[in-house]
Amino acid sequence: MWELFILYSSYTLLLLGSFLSLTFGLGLLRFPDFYSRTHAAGVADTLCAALIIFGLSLQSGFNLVTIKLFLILIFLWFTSPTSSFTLASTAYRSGYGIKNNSSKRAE
Amino acid sequence: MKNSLVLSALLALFWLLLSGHYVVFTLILGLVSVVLIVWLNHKMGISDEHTLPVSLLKRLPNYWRWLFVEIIKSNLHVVKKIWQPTLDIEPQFTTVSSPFKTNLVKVIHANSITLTPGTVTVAVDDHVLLVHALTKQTLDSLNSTKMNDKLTTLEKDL
Amino acid sequence: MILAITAIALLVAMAMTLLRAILGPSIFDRILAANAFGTKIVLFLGVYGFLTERPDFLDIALLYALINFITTLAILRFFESGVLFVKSDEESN
Repeated sequence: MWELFILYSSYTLLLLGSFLSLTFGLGLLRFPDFYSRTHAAGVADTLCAALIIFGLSLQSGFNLVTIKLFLILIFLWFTSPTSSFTLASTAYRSGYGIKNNSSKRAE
Repeated sequence: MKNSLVLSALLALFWLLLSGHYVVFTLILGLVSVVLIVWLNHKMGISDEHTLPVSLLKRLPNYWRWLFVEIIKSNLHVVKKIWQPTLDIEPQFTTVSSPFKTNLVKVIHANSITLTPGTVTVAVDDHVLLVHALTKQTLDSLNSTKMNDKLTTLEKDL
Repeated sequence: MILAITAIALLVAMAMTLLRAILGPSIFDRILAANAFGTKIVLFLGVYGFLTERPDFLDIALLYALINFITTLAILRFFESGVLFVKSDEESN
């Protein structure tokens, strides 16, 4: 009974994670300018990664595999703000998309 | 000294968890790498409170728990915006004050803002962060004083 | 079954990311897409390791996450200054 519950919650988390990864793809294609797209990428880096990794770790039980999964998650959560910030600040300092928000030309 | 000890303990734990092979030869290799890294850190002069804030470690889990809830909330907001049939966003730049004395807490503040979807830190000045916000609502959550309060309690320990 | 669905969803998202990398329009959109693609690969490697019941894939995923982070920083640095290693004053503080 308990195992079934764990299995189904793992499935739920994985499906939610898949939904969020599709959401991220859609947002990346739909949003009109570069700075808005970074927000869509933020969804994939934070909650989508967390849901998929939680779902996988429920299936593995508690062993070294779980710890490795959590190390991956911690690592993603530590590095993703750094790389998003570096990306956004490089774009800002090179003057991209500041004058008008429509951002037609670049480089 | 205290930092080097904590660092070597953390590195040894990290090595043991990743390795999974506990025979004498690999353990010696792990020991050598831990000593090498701690020595290099010491030699480069980067083993201090900034690179490994030991005193902050016991307060961080509490902050992380709060931040996790915030991340879920703002994720739901952004997901809703992405799936809306007509795109209803007001992307804009705004400034947020970051009245913290230490660089470390300022970095935590900027990274927390970036980590919550809907807001991305774009530039950091002395006490002002330039933030790009996706909608009006994410803007309001930025200006609420909740995050500043949490970070002020973090800074007390430093 | 569910793992396969997750893997397919990740692959679809990766295809969408590639589309954004091709469409551009600016270099920053492409770097953003490359970085997000790397995050998706890390998750996909984890799911694939469970799908084939070989958790060794997690080591590769961890390594890939590390390399992806360094790559993004290196590309941005190269784009901004034109060289990878440069002595800059703003780094000292």
